[in-house]
Amino acid sequence: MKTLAVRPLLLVAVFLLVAGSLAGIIAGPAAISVCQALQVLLNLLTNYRFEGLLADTLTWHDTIIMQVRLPRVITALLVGASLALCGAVLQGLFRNPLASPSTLGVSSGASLGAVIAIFLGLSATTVWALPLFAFIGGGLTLFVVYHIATHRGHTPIGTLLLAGVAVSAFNVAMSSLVLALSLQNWEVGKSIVYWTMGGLDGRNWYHVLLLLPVFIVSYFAIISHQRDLDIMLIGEIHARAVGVDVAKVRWHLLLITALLTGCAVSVAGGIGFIGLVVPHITRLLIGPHHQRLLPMSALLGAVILVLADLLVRGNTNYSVLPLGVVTAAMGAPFFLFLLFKQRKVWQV
Amino acid sequence: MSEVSKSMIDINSLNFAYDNQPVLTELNLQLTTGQFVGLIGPNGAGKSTLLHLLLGLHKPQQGAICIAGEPLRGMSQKQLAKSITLVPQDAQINYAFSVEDVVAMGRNPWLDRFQPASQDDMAIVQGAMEQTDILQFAKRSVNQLSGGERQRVLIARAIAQQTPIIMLDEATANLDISHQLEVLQLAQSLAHQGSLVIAAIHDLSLAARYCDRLLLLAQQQLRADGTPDEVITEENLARYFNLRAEVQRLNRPDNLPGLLITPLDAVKPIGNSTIERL
Repeated sequence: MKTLAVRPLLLVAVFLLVAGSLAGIIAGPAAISVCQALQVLLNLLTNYRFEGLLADTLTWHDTIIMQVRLPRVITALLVGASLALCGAVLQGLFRNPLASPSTLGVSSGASLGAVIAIFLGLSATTVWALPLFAFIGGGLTLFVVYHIATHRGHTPIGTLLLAGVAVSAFNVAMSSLVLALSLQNWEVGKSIVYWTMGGLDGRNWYHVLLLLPVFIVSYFAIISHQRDLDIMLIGEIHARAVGVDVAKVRWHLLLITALLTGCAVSVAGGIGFIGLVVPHITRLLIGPHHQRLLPMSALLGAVILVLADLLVRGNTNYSVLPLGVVTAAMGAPFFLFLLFKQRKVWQV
Repeated sequence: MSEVSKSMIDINSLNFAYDNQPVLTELNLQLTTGQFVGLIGPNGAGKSTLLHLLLGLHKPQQGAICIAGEPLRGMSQKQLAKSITLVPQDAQINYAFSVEDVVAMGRNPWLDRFQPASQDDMAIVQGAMEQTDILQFAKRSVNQLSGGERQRVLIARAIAQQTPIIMLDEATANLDISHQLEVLQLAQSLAHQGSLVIAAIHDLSLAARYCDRLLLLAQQQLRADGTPDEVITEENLARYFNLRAEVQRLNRPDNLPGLLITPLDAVKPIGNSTIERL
């Protein structure tokens, strides 16, 4: 597979990122022009008001952009980047393009954790309850799936995926159970249903403030292992032979992945397949070097989710099209395609 | 070989079992620099396990291993990789790293987490590729190489690592005969330049031809240790390989060492394992 030069792809990705974000700020029921949007953004950046330049920059523009659209766009960027980054890490760690937060059950585990947090009423007491429980749910799932599939240090991907499917099914069943129990209390039931639908409606600065620090810390923790990830792709014994403490690196990265996925899921619900499709395509485009793959996956994940969110908002004036449905509609056929390609390699 | 050879590997009463199934019991071994040591033995005798123990992949239940004078137990994987490395059994590499990328991974133990490879590192990588004769495809992707080429890449990686001890685990198993010779010659020359090279080898004739010293591992212990002549005997083959064979010493005019092993037939297991089972 011939790989592309990184620079042109980077330029395209950055262009799409900026264009997609701007479109995300402009698009919506309330008409706001590009100029007005740029004006507000400029005000934000300089913290200085050019009120004389455009007389019709009214305060409701400020409010809509600053309180509704901008946090929504930034949340989409962060969630997309987080999921794609986690997918890139898991695919590298397990040396298989079929690994991702959704296929290994981390997402459903995080959802279960979040649903439990809402059910117990903890999410009403502190904003950190939801991400914390999502992290615990995702982390426990990853731990269980990994240990079921690992025997004497070997983790066959077939067993790993089957374990992921099985534990996911359990997580989904438990989530339904919690939902069924909660229906006795209408308020709790409603907030669980609302949360389970996922998506980015009504996401505000709290969500950004919750996800941003976790994303930054996780990102740097992950790229500190970029050479380890490269080396581990050649094989576990090879990695040990050149001084990579495979068990420790794996443990670190699984923990970080569970944390970041947990936070992303607690903010936007189950958004499948971004973590599967984006890193795989990125690897096909620019090759397996994690020094480039990790940032590029994060960037493209951000772009794709912002664009998917635009699609959701642009096409549905009357009905609500969940964001997770859009990403799954793109991702599920792709997953099947990967399975189809891998049929020759392993028999499950 | 004028330098005084240093003790590189010290193993004292090592015991290792997989899930209560003993693989090695009360193993003692000392190896010094400047030797090409062949590790032979029947399937399942624990050759790979021994190499993996030396790399810290498993923890022995009992006993101590010292690498370059330091106890293995307290060393980090990175520290260890400055003294000892392993070329694993041939494995397919499905990722599009260039040959040079893979060889440069040998510099990992010498680099800090965020430190990129320096020009000196890259010079070492070039040298290792030259030595293994893979410079001509330095920029090619490893997933396009043949088994023999890939094996040489992994050996170049071990050379670039600059460890005094290099272990080869069945590094020649999937190669054709001329590539096998190439790899073994390379290993021999590395040993005679002062490294300690340990190779698990299946082919007894090749082991006899190239190794300075052979270790016969069978039934959980080191059963023979010495020159190829001393180790590959008809009795040892019968006892530990269950093989009736004729072993002839070749008196070649060029004085190259060599044994002619003519397998006759497989025999019923004799010795401890049968007795224990009865």
